[in-house]
Amino acid sequence: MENKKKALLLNELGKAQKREGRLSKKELAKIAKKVCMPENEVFSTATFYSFLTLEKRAKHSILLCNCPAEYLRSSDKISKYLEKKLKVKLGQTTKDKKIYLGMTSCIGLCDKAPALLVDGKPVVNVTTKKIDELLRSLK
Amino acid sequence: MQITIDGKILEFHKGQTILDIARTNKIEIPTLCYHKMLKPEGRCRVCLVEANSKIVTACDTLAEDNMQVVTTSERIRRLRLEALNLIASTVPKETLRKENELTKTMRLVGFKKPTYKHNIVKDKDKSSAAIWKSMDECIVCGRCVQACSKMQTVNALSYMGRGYSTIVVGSENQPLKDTTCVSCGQCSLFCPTDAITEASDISKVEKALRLKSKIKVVQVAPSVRVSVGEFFGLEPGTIVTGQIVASLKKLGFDAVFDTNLSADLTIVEEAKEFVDRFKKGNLPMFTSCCPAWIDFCCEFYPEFINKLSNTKSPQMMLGALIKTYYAKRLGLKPSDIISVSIMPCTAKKREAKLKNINASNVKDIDYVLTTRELGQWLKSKKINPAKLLPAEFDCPLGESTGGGALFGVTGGVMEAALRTAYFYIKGEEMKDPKIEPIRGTKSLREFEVNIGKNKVKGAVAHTLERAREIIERIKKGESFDFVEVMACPGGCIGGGGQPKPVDWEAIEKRAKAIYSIDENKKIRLCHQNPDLKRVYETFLQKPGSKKAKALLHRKYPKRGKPQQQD
Repeated sequence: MENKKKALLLNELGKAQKREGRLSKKELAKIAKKVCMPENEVFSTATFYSFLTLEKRAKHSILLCNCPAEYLRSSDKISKYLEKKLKVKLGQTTKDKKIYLGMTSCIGLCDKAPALLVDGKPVVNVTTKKIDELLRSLK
Repeated sequence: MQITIDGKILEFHKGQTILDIARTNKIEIPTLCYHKMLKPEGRCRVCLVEANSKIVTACDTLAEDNMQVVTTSERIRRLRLEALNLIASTVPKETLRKENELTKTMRLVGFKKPTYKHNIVKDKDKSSAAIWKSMDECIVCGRCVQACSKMQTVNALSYMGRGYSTIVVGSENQPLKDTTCVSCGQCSLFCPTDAITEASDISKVEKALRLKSKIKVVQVAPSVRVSVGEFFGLEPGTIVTGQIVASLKKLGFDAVFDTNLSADLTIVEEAKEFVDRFKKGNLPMFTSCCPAWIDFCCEFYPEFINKLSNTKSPQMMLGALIKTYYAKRLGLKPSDIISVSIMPCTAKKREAKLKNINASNVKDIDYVLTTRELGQWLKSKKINPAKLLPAEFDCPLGESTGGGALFGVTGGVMEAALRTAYFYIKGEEMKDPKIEPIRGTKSLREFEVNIGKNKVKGAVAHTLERAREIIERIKKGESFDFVEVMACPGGCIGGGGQPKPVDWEAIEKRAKAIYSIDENKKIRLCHQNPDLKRVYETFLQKPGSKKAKALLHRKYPKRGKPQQQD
């Protein structure tokens, strides 16, 4: 029962995120009622996953995978390059509010590390060159 | 079924965890996030053991038949040290120098100093009048969240984020005062460090004690006298009433009064109210001496607010008497007196700051200290109550009965109230004041007591989870006449301001001590209290009189928690 509720919760959160682009307090309360779970637990779940957001994010999002496999393929260089190029730190949105740069837990692409998720689509074997191309296409 | 732990063959039954079996057989496995009164969550990884050569957490792994468990090996030692290294590197160095559960576990495992560098989260929340939260000391053991959500079903705390950046915040990242928090303080009681504490008032009280123009008065709650000794190496349940009085005098208070007396007063008024309502209707009546329960009822079940007894809690009643009756006797203004109370409770801190709670034109209670704060304060002043000669409470508010003493334990208010209600209904005293079916440690107890031809159906609940259960049952149509609720496990003796770390055996020992105080009193019926008789004769007239109603009763909001002043 408990596990079923939890599975249902993630489903609902995902749907709302897709629909609204963020999870407002009102939305969280509505979902809590729907799945019969306390609001504080729904909130904790919403802040746990990097695909779920409370604030509206920028038009585009670049999420960097942060698992050890990525580090071994020097993803730190990639993240530093991205930070330099976008002039933001990880977890921040660019000044023109167009691109959000963040981290995510394993996205299952460790064999093609370093990997990014750009607006939900994977970009694999990332190099600085690829990033330049990518940023050009986003602008 | 059998299990082998460190070469010893041990019997166990289904449902026991490895840790359960080890502890019952006195095999030591270090733990940190585990607490006997909560569900194990296996967060801290300090209790790691080898079970059938696999590494598992002992606290939440169920034992299996013929399992081979090893609790000490080089591999396990290294893993435990690593777990502690990761935890200890997230707290400030000062925390590692303090005496707390974290440092105790560190000593047990043999861990010295963290080697990782980690940004320490600085998130402080001092919005609540009762509880302070500072996340730098938090090790995310999860006990507070579990105590709040599962034991109390209040859901005022939640986690935010994941992994190392996880912090515990007020529900939905609001300041604690804006959440559903009822100030019970169980989060602070279960906290293994000092990440969550009571809102400290020691320095304010020390400052107030230096004011020469004021009379400084202090009161001591029923359950403090059976627990404060634990700070000074005494067994839980050691009764140190006289020693507390002596040490408070040493700290500089002019008069020390007994909250047990106002507990008697609460009973006299509450039993009167109950008898009236028993005859006229509007039942069940809920007890009103636990401020966390009042907050809970107002927040979650506003439709039951009119079922709460409108008598004030003993703390506020004595506060009212101190600033009116006592002030009048001394020919002083209420503002000339500074009134402090020593409580086992964090919610009392908020209660003292509520709007519409005062009988005088100033605050009836100026400051509230918890048992823990008293312990800390005495230690810092190098006063050891265990070594002092006992002293007596001061006149005119120092005499108390056995009934008042019972307020410290779950079921106590009910028992004392029924003793007095019996007198009000039948006009004669109870032969044996002990009412056995009310006593016990079960978290929800139901009983029937015959008073003459009348049957009183009552229930006693402790922890707010059980309070919720009883209200839900009443909503479904069950009927009760009288319901006692205490927010904390075991009643005030397990209160949120009591010595840490809490454990159930200590609570039971404190309960035994409370019952022995009752048994050893010559007068065990609240309405026979001689000091109170004098208060009624010279000041309040009679129970339920206009003056008593004005000073000792209170009004509740229509919905939502009672509001604080400013």
